[in-house]
Amino acid sequence: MRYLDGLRDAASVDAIKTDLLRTAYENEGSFLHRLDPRVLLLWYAVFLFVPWLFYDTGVLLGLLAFVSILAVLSRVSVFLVGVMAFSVASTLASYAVVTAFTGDPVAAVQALIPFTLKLTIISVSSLAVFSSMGPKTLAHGLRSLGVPRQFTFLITYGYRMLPVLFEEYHDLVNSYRLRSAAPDSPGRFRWRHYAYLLKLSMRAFYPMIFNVAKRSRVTVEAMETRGFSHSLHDEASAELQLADLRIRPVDVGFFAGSLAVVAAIALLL
Amino acid sequence: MSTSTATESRFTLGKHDMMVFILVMSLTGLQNAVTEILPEFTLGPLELGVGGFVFIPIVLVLLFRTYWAALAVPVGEIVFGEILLGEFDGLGAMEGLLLIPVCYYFAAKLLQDPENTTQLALVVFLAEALEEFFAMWIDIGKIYVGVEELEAVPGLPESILVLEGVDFVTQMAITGIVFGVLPALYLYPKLHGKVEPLLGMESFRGERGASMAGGVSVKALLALLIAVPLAFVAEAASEVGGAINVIWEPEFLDVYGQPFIAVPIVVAAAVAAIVWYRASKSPRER
Repeated sequence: MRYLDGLRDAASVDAIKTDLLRTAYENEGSFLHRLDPRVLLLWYAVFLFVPWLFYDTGVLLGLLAFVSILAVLSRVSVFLVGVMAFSVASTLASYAVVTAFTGDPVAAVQALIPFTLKLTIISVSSLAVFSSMGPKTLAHGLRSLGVPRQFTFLITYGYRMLPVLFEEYHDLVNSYRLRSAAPDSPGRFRWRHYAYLLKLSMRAFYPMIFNVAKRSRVTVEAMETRGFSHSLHDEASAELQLADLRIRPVDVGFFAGSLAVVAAIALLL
Repeated sequence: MSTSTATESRFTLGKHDMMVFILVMSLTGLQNAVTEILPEFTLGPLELGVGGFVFIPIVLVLLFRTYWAALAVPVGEIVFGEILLGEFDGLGAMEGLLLIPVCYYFAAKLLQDPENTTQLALVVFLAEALEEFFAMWIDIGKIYVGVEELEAVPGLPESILVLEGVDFVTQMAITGIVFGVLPALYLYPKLHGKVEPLLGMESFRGERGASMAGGVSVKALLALLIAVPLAFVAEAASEVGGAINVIWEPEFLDVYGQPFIAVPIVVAAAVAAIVWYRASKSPRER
């Protein structure tokens, strides 16, 4: 059990929290961050599509290397990469184990490797793209691609609110812990302790629901006072908002360059 | 209540719809982020752990009973859980957007008598079961599309079915009952008639002793029948290469040579250009 405790300390809630928030907010200055959001979104759409065109493991590995470099450039959090790597490995392992009973595990893993590689390429490119876009750029990009403003507003709102809600929730859990007695004995494998924490974290949602309800009402009212609905059908406001989106040579270069890299990988490997 | 009619007015959320949307989205996202951090024992497609506190979104959808509330559930998951953590997987998110609102909304409409505990339990269970069930089949279909000559590998198709089936059962037991039905039974009465006034809305009264049959709305059922194939198409579209790959077998390359690999890239570029052209048109023309 000592080992488990160590693991928990390494991945303590607070460390993960800061890591994730960093992913969401501190991406200024990474390479992809300087690009136009629309170009990034298009690039992403293309890369959702490209991996499915190849079955050759070499080509797929090349693509994976390419998107991994981009992910490194956009400073993706280590925790997320770890989670992803583990899930890929365990998926393959579990299929191998089950297939051992029904057929040929080696062949199964061989058949599945290209498939999982494709999924990994897509996840890594999503990590790179979405962790390098701030909420505002993402919303503007989507807005100019024709997503209704209510939804882009909700995205930015979500970004803004998550840390606040997270803090509030954490405080609630802690106050519940102060006011209630922990189980006398932690039980075998500390299961009592975990069950207790789980129950608390569920109960802490009850006051949270009222807090968020009040907050959402105030938010909508405040937005209406500032003329949100009124501005929805006003072109001038949309143009004003999207005025700073510009496609520069560097964007075009990035897009063309990526396609060139894909072509090179496909031809050389 | 704004129903989903496919017109321009589809996006006219009323003030209350917007409030409910923000509420459900924030809470769903929060529970998603919290359960994301809880330790989980994952074995490939098998997840032994807290999949999520699904009782929170389900109870909220049951309280507000609008399609918008149901739509806020996947949006919250996408915004908070995926975009924020950078784990957005494009068309997989589409699956959630199509499936979850329909399943939850359909279930919520079945609840006719909020004081009938049995009915409440059934509805919550049904909402979760529908969603998990369709998601399972979509997963299976995905592998069938994505793996080359799956049938040729001895034992693999069976093992996929076994794994997905076991996953479905464990998910239903853990997420559906322990974190779904049981807490929902406790939470729904506690919130009923308290949260709605906070947002300036009437709470749902229902009828004492009304049966669930009265809530079977044909529209919701139709939506259910249409959304599932659509979700599968979205999933399959993400694997569209799989379909194209029928042509892109190595034999084909032997005949025409490697440069043909450039074709899909050009096609992708063309698609990008078209989307680009559409998007760069000024909003006036839309």
